[in-house]
Amino acid sequence: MVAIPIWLLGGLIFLALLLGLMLWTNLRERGFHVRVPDVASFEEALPSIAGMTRSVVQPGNSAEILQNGDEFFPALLDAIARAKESIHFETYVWWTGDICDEVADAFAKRAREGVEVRLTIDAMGSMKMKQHLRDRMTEAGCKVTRYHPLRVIDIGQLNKRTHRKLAIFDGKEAFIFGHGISRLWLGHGQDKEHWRDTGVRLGGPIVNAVQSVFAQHWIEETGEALVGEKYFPHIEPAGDIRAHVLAGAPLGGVSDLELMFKVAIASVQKELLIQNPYFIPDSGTVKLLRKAVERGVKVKIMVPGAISDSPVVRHAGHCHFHELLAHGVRLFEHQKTLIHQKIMIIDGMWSHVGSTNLDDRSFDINEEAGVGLVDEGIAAQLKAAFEEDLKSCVEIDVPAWKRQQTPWHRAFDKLCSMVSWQL
Amino acid sequence: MATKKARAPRRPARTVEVTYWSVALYLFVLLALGLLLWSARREHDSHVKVVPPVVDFRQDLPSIANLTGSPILDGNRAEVLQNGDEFFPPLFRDVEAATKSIHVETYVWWKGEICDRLAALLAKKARQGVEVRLTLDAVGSNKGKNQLFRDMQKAGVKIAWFHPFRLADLGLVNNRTHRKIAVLDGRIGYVFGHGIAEEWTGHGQDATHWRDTGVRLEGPVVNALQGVFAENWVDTTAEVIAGLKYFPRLPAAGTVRAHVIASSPQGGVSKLELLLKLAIASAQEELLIQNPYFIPDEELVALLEAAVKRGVAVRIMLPGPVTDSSVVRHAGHRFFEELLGHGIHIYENQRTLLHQKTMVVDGEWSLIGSTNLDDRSLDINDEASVGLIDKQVAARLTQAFRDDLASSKELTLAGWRGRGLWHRTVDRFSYTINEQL
Repeated sequence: MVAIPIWLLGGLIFLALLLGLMLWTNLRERGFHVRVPDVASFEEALPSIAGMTRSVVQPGNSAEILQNGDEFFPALLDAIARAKESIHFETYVWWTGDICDEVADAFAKRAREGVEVRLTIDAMGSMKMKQHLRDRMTEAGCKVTRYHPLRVIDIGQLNKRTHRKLAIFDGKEAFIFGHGISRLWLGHGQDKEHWRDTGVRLGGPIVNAVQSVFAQHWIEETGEALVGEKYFPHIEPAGDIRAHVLAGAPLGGVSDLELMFKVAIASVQKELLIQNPYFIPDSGTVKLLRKAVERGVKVKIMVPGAISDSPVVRHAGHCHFHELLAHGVRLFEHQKTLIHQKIMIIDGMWSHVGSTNLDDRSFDINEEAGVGLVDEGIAAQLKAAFEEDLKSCVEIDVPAWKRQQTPWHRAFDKLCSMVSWQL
Repeated sequence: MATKKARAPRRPARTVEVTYWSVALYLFVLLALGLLLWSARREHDSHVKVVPPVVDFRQDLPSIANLTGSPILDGNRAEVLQNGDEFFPPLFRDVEAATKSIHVETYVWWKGEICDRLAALLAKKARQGVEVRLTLDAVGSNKGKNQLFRDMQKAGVKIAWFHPFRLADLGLVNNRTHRKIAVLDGRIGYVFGHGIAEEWTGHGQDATHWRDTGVRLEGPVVNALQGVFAENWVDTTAEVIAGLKYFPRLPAAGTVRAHVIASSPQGGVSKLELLLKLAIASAQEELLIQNPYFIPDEELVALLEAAVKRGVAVRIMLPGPVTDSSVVRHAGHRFFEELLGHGIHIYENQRTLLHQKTMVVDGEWSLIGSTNLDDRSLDINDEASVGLIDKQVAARLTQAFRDDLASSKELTLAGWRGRGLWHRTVDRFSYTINEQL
């Protein structure tokens, strides 16, 4: 035991409280309840969305939808093989074995052939990646950087991950996708060991914008500024799709991505289709969805069923299901595999493809990247895929949901939602 | 505690008994909290270290614009506005003519006639049914008259205070909005360095009438500027500004190519720092800088030296004796000897506070805005500047630089080396605290 004066004890407690308060005020998400005005159409909201997310809607692009691993990995490996000058790649999940080695070897091969290969890999998402795989690439000349490595001095950044999934080749061709580099993303979503996901291959001026998203983390981790026509060439129009990049930079204000999704839901007029593996709406989103239904919009939301890699997230999402169902939002649970794609289609004219989940982690904590595509053809393709997925879904109806919602289930949902802001 | 005077024996302080392990636990918690806080706040290695040798500013401008998240937009009209005399009259005219929305964001709003006049005009427009939104920094504008703000609010002006002092927002107190922008009907934009205060009226004629530069913009770039306004507006009020009323489709209004560079502290490398370093790295002929606060870091100094070595004429004009922050001025002195030794021209304006934040590269690209060249602007505050690709705009700013030379003194290496010991000590001390200035 040691005797200390009471004022010292008071002072010490005050000091600890002050530090705690400063930390909390620094990290806390300020409670925003965004008020979104009524907008006559999505087209009218688009310039605002682009303006507030600091992007520009650029005309003259091409886009090719890549469904599941079967379409994505061959296209990726082909682009790696074709690149002449630079290959840039950023991902969250990258493990070891099978496809992980194959992708690593493809990068290593091109680096040996003199192509500049830059890889940004999230240190947390790639924990299962073996050191020897990274060494193999580094020895071949790939520049590999790990995003927010787990170091004591970075403990305050530990929670902030890059969830972006991007690839840019010669500054002229870009991929934005939801796939991780793991055997789980192989195949065509046939079973629970082969997940469903969607990516897009882009050409045209929008690739400059995707490159700049890659450059953000690259410069942050390595200090190297990517300057030159090699990286940001002048790109001629490659199609007639209008596109804008959505890259969330969280913290310090309202999340760009949250804003984007809310304005989108507020402006939809006919039909809203959502496929997302993690769907935890806040009360503001629920209200916007209800209002959409009230003005005659058909709202269909597809989420994973029993096959989920995060049951806690799934249950946290359940909190608002009853309210959504009661107000006419249609909810579908996919039964065959984990649907991992982050798709949103508005009025058959605008689609989102990317990495952003509909939960607080994606909106407020992680770094995400997606692309908005203004094109009826793309929207029709994604809608066809949505309808195909519907065949493996069970629709949740109100009576069934009530039966399922035992008090125990409800208590568990509530518990999950209490921790949901970190999920 | 030793006491000087003799007095009655002190009553022993009341003490409490605590166990050693609770002391240890306390220390651990304190350390952990401190570490977390420091680590969450620290700039995550966010300085630009590798700036590639840029071949050509014109050719690499797309890279620069993309890296700083500010796509270049064609078809704008840009009119440079010098000092209060050229800035306030057109601003008042455009506010008067606005029919739908008036958006103004500023750091400084103090007291004086100009404040009263602008407030009266904004209130009048609000009463006419025009949507008036005013974002004011809670620290920068705390000298403003409360009655004035209340009157505006009564008339229907929506005022958003940026980061007011609240216990729950203690961690944000240091992050201010230093942006100075105005957007009228979503069609006309202003980017400027002026504060709303008497100091910014006149034409930089003396120590109480400061020198500053703004620009009036029309064309597609105004959409981007509206986006910048909307960002802090939604952060402070949660009201989303969306719709064609605010973001109209803007036809070409001129031939100036423009890009808006807005920065916020969080989220990696500062876009403005990146822009600044890339612009210096890419200058081929001439680099002109006018800025009230100039505290370069070592990398910036190296880039300036490299520019001189490849034949670029580098001229930097700063305030002299008339400054509103002599600590900043002295902190900037740290690298002066080195800069002068390498042939960089440094001028100190003698007549007034040079408050404009302008830069001209190779007579082609100009930057006008709110960004000072110190860590507070580059890493802590929210700032907004506009890059303009146009020879005429560059020529106007170059001419203004020459005019300012008449009231400036060039520093010489010999003269600088002869400065007194006291001056050196102040410089050294000022620099050590420079990050927060």
